[in-house]
Amino acid sequence: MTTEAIHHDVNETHDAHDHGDHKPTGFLDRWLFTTNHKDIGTLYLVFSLTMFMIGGAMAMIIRAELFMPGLQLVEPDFFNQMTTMHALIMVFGAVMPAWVGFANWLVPMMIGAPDMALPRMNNWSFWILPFAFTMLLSTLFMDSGGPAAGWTLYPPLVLQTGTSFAFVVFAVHMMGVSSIMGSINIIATIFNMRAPGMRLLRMPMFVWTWLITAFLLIAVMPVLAGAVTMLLTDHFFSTNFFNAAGGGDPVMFQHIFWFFGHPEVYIMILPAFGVVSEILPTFSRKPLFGYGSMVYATATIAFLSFIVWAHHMFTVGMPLQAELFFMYATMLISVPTGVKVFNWVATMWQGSMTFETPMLFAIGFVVLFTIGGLSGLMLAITAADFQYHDTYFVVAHFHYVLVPGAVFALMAATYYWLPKFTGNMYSEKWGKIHFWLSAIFVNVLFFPQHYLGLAGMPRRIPDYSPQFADFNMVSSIGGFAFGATQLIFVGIVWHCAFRSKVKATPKVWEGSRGLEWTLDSPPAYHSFNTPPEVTCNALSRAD
Amino acid sequence: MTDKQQSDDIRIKRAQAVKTAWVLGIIAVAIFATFIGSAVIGR
Repeated sequence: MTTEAIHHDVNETHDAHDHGDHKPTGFLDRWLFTTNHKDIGTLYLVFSLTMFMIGGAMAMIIRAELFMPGLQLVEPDFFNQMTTMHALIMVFGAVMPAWVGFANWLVPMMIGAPDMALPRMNNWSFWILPFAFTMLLSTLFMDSGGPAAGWTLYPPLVLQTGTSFAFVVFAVHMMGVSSIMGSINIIATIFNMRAPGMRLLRMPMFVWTWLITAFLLIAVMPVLAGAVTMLLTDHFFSTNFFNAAGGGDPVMFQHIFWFFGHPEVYIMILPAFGVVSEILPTFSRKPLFGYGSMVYATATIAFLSFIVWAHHMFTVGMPLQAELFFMYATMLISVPTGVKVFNWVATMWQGSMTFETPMLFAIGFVVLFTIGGLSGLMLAITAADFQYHDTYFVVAHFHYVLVPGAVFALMAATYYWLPKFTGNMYSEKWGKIHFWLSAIFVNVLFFPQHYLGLAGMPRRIPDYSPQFADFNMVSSIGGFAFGATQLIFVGIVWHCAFRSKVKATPKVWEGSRGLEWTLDSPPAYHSFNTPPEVTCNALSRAD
Repeated sequence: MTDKQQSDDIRIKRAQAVKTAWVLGIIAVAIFATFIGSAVIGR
């Protein structure tokens, strides 16, 4: 039944291919005015890679300055601008657009839709971003400099930013508008454009995780917009929302920011969960263990993410009852997360596993993300957090979650679907070299930061006491090597897209399942003009 | 593909999607207004 269903779809695809490949011929028509989900997906991914390089270069400046005690290379204020901009660019410019890029490419193909539901809005969602980040980056060249108060933009410190602050706020607004429009499009597509028979509980996990992520985005991006708008009026229009001297409350900003900020963490990681849930079954040649529980665990994590925000601010002096509530609620997240890790391991258990590059990155994700999760559990303990707060332990924790977590999942997704996108195979040898170097150096980079934090080194400082020198030097060496390793990744992607002579088959991977693998590699410009009929669970990950 | 190349089925689905988008957009604006409004009233 599985084979029949897939063959039926492949035949339909070939029919569609004949009259579905009408690409616009002009450069501007193809890329500036495009409404095609595949082209817009590519634009997002290229933009994201560019932002990774810019944000990565800032990380290199940070690690170079911290290579030795004392001020080496940059002024303290510029160092603070680097930490702030590195975070803003990596969060809003690199990780989030990368996931939106994959969603654009994959969601329509995975649910059997011809395109996103609202293609023109899709174009606008993307083209806002380059302007937003140009504006954000331009602040570095202004007299008053870029924002230097950390990505959390806490007042009153951030209100000391000069006139360039207006550019920062407007850039954040534009990023928010882009994210909200993208999310609306994804939800509208999933709810309205599914092929006949693609019931909600037959959808691939990547589609499920993105559906839940999109709801999170719509719920919290307006909150961030509200917070920065109030900062803007405090700065330029003499309001006192967060100004204690005028009767305002700076702690209120922290509550509002983290009501956005904590779900934001899950916005970056839930699509990663989806990707890993696609890849592990493929290379284990087994269905995903506990598909239903994976869906419910994702929804539970999303719900809990709204009621844990104050664990980021245990030290501000909340009532004891509130601290206990946020501590226990935070610890509760480990239950659905544990369900996921258990299901991933159970999926691999007794599978016919092979270790191609996407699988290596997916397994690396499971192991290293779990380390990040465990240090998160340590930070959730209120009493202990008073020791860890604002130290390098926190930096180590969230980098473990975001780099070998979200970024490794992005790498896994790239290696997994790039042959589908480009029609060419990448170099498996270089992919594995990229994985092993990344896996080694990411630990050299971030693991020592746990010790630095436990020894009391504060975060966001350009200089430090000599007792922190050794671990900082190790961390910086790991950082330079990890950064250089990512140039290999750029080379692999470029070679796969433009130089590779090895053509990819439609299915690409022996164990892959799902509608996207029934299309040619690369798929026709307009695919699924005739919706496929999904008659069984075989085309989805459910079993 | 241009609007004219769409099948009737897709056209109907897209019309429904536009309604979904309006509902979600209004929710997003309402959340923004609620947070700013409650901060103003709270002050």
